[in-house]
Amino acid sequence: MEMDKYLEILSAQIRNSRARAMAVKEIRDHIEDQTQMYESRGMTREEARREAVRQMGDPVETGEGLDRIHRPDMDWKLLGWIAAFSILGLIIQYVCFYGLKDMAGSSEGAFIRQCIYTAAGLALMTGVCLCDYSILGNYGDLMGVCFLGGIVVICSLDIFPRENGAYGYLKYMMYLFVPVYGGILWRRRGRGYRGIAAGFLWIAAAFITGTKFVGGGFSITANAVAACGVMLLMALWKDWFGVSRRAGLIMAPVLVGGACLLLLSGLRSYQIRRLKVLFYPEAYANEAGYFTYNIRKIISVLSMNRNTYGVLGQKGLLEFWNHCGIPGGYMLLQSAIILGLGKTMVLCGIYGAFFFYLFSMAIREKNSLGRLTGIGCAAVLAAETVQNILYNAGIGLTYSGGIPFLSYGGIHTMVIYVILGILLSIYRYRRLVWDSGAQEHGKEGKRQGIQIGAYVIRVEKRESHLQP
Amino acid sequence: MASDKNQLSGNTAMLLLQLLSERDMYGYEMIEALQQRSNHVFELKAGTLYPLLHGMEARDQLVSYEKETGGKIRRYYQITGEGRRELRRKKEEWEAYEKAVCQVMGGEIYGNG
Repeated sequence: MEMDKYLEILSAQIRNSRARAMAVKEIRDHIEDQTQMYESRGMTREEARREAVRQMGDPVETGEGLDRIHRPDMDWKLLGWIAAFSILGLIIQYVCFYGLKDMAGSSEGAFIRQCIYTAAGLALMTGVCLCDYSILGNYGDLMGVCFLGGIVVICSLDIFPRENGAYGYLKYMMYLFVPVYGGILWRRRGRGYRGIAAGFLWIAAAFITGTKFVGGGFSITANAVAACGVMLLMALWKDWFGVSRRAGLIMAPVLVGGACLLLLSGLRSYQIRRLKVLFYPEAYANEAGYFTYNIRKIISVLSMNRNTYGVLGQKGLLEFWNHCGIPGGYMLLQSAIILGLGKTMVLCGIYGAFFFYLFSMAIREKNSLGRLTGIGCAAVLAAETVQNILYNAGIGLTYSGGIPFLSYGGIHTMVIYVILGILLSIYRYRRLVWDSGAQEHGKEGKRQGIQIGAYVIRVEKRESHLQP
Repeated sequence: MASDKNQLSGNTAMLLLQLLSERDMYGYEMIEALQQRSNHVFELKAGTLYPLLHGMEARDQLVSYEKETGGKIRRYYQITGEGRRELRRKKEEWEAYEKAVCQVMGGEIYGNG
């Protein structure tokens, strides 16, 4: 049988195009090697090729064997987690808020709307999960430019209405920069210090877009930027840029320090006052410390397992609490008031277990783009959750936007499910996406050849058709 | 017979894991090394090798990466911690099997003479 015929029969058995291309290349190389070996033993090129193909065995059996392995795969555990958490979140929202009478901020039909947002989010997540996430690696830069540029254009044109002078409803979109950043960093493997600088500049660009153009939702931009920072540090730790790990680790504090300076430069005067509020909320009880002071008062009356809603009225805290906008970012504290502190702490434990699962899944991912993007996605969701828990516990620095599965809001819900969809896609395509390019495991991005200063000397074998 | 096929595949996997525990290799190298080290007793067909390697990679026993050798980009396979654990398990199974065969067969050649 001819080699091309063999490969044609073999590739016809493998349904996934990526797996097909990879397997055909690997087996073609094998046949070439075997042919060269037979030629060196005195066979003619034709005889050697024919014998090499014969030695390969049955192409149908081999192709079927490879097809059985290289299929998209669903992470049913994660899907189960998400489905269960979505239902649990809706139940808690209903029991603690929408199902209760005379709750301020509970408009008619709000719970039904949130159920619809959740169902739409789950549908969107399924759609994202079915898409091959490795497109992020192929078009990372283009997607980054379009994403940040699109936000800048939308905000600059002033065609959409503003809320309190900012495009508050766009703020959650900044979370979607995190997976795009995974692709951007992935494209900079082996680019040395230039790659690191580019990684840092992209974070700065996202930060400026979030704070100066979108405005509002500072904590959301901070979450996205922090997740990108985690990804950059991880890339340095893995020596992704081809500089030594030591140099990378020396740079890490510089990067973290720079990021902190960036964050501080973005803080407005009222946000700086919030820093002081953390330590002396009583002194600012009627201004910047209003929320922190009153939240701590509410926490002081909570019971481990009793409903303490009635106590809020007795203590004069009900009016404050009714003006907080509970469904957006205070559902955890509301749950502690209605269900008791004990059950809410169990809920926080469930969040912890969920994020432990997400991170362990992402760290186990073999493909470097999948691993980095997965860690970034898990980090941004974890950052939002931690921030929300801290704020509900009266020790938060800035107002938290929301918390996955428990907060009201269409855009927030959709963005969270898109991120979860990307995590599912990373798992789904783990047997179909391979690290490409010349690189060795554990030495990602290491340049091949001898490096002298800015130059790399490489010795390559000439292809036979190029020989004189 | 299915059991024979499974056993054969399991033993081949053990041999491949052993080779990869010594150094990273690409597919063709593994077949060559198996032939040489077994005095041509094990002539593994490439059609058997690649599904096995890809299966072991899917079970996290191996990872693969591309590396340039001799002007060609080749896919190298590297054993993982899970792969080393699997190799230990398979060696133990093999030793138990070998001992059992020796005990049944008896005679000097099997150490029972």
